[in-house]
Amino acid sequence: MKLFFATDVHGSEICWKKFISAAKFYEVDTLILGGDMTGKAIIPIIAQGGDKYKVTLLEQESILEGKEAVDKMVATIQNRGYYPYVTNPDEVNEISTIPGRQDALFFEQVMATVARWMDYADAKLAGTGIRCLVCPGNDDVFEIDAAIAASKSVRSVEGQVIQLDEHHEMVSSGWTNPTPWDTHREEPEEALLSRLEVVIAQAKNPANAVFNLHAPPYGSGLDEAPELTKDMRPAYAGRSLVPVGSKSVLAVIEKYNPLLGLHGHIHEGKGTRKFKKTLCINPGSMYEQGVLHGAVVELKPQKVGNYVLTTG
Amino acid sequence: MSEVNLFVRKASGLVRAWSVFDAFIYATFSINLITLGLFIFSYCWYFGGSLGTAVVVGGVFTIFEVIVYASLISAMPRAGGDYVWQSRILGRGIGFLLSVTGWWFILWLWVPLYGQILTYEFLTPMAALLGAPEAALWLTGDSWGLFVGMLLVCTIVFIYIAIGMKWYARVQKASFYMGVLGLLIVFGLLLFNDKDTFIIALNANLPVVYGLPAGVDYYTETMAAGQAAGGVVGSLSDFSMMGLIASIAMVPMMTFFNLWPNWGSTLYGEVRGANDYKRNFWGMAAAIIVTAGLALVLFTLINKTMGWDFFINSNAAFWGYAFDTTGTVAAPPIPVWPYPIQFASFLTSSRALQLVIIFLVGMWWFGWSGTVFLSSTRVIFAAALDRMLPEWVSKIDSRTRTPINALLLMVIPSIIISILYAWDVVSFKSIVLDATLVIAVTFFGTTLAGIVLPWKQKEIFDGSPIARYIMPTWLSWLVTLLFVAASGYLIWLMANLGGQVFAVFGEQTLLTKAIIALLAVLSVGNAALLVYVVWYVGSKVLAGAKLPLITLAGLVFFAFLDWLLVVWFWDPSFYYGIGWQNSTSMVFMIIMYALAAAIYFGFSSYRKRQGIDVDKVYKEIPVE
Repeated sequence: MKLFFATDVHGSEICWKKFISAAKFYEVDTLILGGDMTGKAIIPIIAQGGDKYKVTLLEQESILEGKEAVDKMVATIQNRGYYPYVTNPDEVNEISTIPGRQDALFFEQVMATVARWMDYADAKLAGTGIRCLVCPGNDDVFEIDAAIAASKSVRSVEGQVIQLDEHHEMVSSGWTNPTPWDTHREEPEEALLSRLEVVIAQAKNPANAVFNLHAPPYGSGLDEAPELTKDMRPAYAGRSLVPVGSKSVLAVIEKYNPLLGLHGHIHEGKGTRKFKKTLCINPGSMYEQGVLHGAVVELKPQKVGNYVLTTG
Repeated sequence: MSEVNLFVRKASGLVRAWSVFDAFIYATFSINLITLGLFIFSYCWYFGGSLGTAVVVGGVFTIFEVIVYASLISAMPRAGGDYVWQSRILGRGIGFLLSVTGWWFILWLWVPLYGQILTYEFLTPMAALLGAPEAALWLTGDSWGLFVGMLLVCTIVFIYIAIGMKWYARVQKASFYMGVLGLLIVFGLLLFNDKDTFIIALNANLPVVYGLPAGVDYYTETMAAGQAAGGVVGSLSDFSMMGLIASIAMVPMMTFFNLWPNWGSTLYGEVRGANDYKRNFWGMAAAIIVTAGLALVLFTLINKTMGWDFFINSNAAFWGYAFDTTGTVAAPPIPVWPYPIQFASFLTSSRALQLVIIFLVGMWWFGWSGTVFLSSTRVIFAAALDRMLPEWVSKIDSRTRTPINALLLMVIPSIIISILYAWDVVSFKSIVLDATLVIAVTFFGTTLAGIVLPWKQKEIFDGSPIARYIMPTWLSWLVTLLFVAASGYLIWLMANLGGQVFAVFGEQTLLTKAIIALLAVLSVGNAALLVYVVWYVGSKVLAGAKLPLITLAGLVFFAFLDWLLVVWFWDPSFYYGIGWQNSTSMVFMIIMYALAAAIYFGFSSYRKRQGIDVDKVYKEIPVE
């Protein structure tokens, strides 16, 4: 079988569309998204009276005139992975000042986007025989699992072992070790290890399985991120790279030696690493530029066949 | 209360802005006035003109390079630099050919250069000051001595890679502060002493430190030796037409040190805009400006206290002898590389302080040296990920956590090149500037990618922070017309210089004839490329487009790089020594590009037979 793996699209509309289109382009039968589907920012498009709107994208303020200009800006914002929100100055003030209002808006945008993405996938994948498997990551709110489950063609595989083909199972978890941002699906290493062991225990043959674990193994080189200062700035102008992956993921990789490890989480950590027979891949992410990093991997009955990392 | 224009949720990866000063430190190390700068300044002994003017002019053009790179970083961050930018915008083949040669193969030649600089600026003076003058003279004067320096480079860089970027970044920062302190002490010594004191100090210290005969006026003898070797002493303040022409002729030498502010700068935050672009720009641009300023201060102080004529002639005496093929140039009175920092340190009678100065200023080397393999290992890894190299090259040793095989792909060829260089086999020491030329070709490709980015990758450009930097119509027209004029000049220059060479074609060996023919073909290709860029950009401007800043800056830097390549290759006055007259240089470069092409076509074909469609690696996935 041949699969395409991508991860960390973080709300980028164009990256999701490319992900769905990747099956045909790379001639694969299975699509796997490693997690972190949701965006990190909302860009308000603020009505200024008349048919004018003000928007500040990437610190660049623009005045938009008319629906066509607004629609174009909405697409641009969506493709960068942000949520555009057409609003007015009063509502912006409310969102900024009323506790919980911003979280509620984010939730609304996240759910609406995931629903739209599922519709897109259903429309494109129906009848193609292509499987699409998604495992939400640490940045994804729990509620999106249900939204994915509602799709006819996309399957959420968090915490599950599924059969990829007659020879290979896939173990999946989007949970990670703690980050400085206290995200939704993160927990201490001990708890994470227990969680992973519970999932792996469902597998009949872990040594011939694919481990689709969002966090990369600690110290693998797939987990190198800029060291941060106490006030959350990249130290040494980002030159100092430190391993931030999961020791639990490393432990299960070393313990079970699966065929393949599929990881993400660290956008800068694009690469591959072998742990004995296990090939671990982190394709990295350039979601803000609308570029979909991925990996095309061929699975043979007892080994990984050809593979290549892509910049699509 | 200012209006909110962005809501950010709690999500991983969102960080505050990094320190511009830190970025400046690393860019300053990449340019490196002390290692690269002093080394290449010492080669400029036969030009005349003003070294200061050359530094400033070279620096001005490098600012345009900074704009191009800062723009590409902000438009396509975390992409992996030149390799991915070129592959994505210009095509996979071009990206591979230019990046593998510019970021991997040519670094094999940088190893002996790093080693030579280590030997000249640190090992030799330290050995002498520690009471081992014979060892000091052996290090500089014997091929084995130089080779030891080169092996040390491999060892030190291996240690840096083994300790990882976390600790190397700390070493660099500490080295910066120590290096700057050392340089300030040198400035102080030069500022508060005069030439008479310097002459006395030089003549007194050389015998003691290096075990040379006492009672010799080394200052005067060095001046005479430099003149006899053909040294041409210009003036720092020579702004006459002839002086300017000589100064401009030195600009291609200056690129040896000031072309690298972009080395390793790829940082860009998520959900960030123009502010990060400016941070990238200022980190690199400040390095250019401050380094040029420091160079001018150093030149002025050398002029005041050592005498500019002594500086030039000491270099002429050393290099004139080193490169003499006729046997007519006498050995220099000072048998070591004329290191201005050590000469300045002689202005203190304290041997301990002299040691401290050499040690502190030596930190400019130690903080910088790790760069030689870091970029190379990244490109090797990137090529392996694209399946253009075997998988084993990206193996990480589990015990040391070092990319052992990638390092071997650097170290083994580097040792071979170091042997050729140390023993000057087939005049290998003459190809110093190849180290710059090949990377300049890589930058040439990236600059072209930057020029066409707004149209070739419109979606990426439109959604990037640099989309806001659009130049007014008049400036778009002005720069386009200037580029048209520059292209015309460059085509004329190639024809003119090529014509001069073809006039003596019949007198050349078969190999040289083949090289000239190759250069002629490349020149025709270059002319076609210039015409293409004129057409591409010109048609946009004619259609009423205002040029984005990246395109505008790209045009200026592209023309500059093109000029460098033309004068390096055709080089009628044999100023740079790496063009058609130097078959070692040309064959060396041809082998590198041929090797890259062989790997590219070989692996493309091999992977296709394996069922991997490598042509799709950088192709954009079409969305239905």
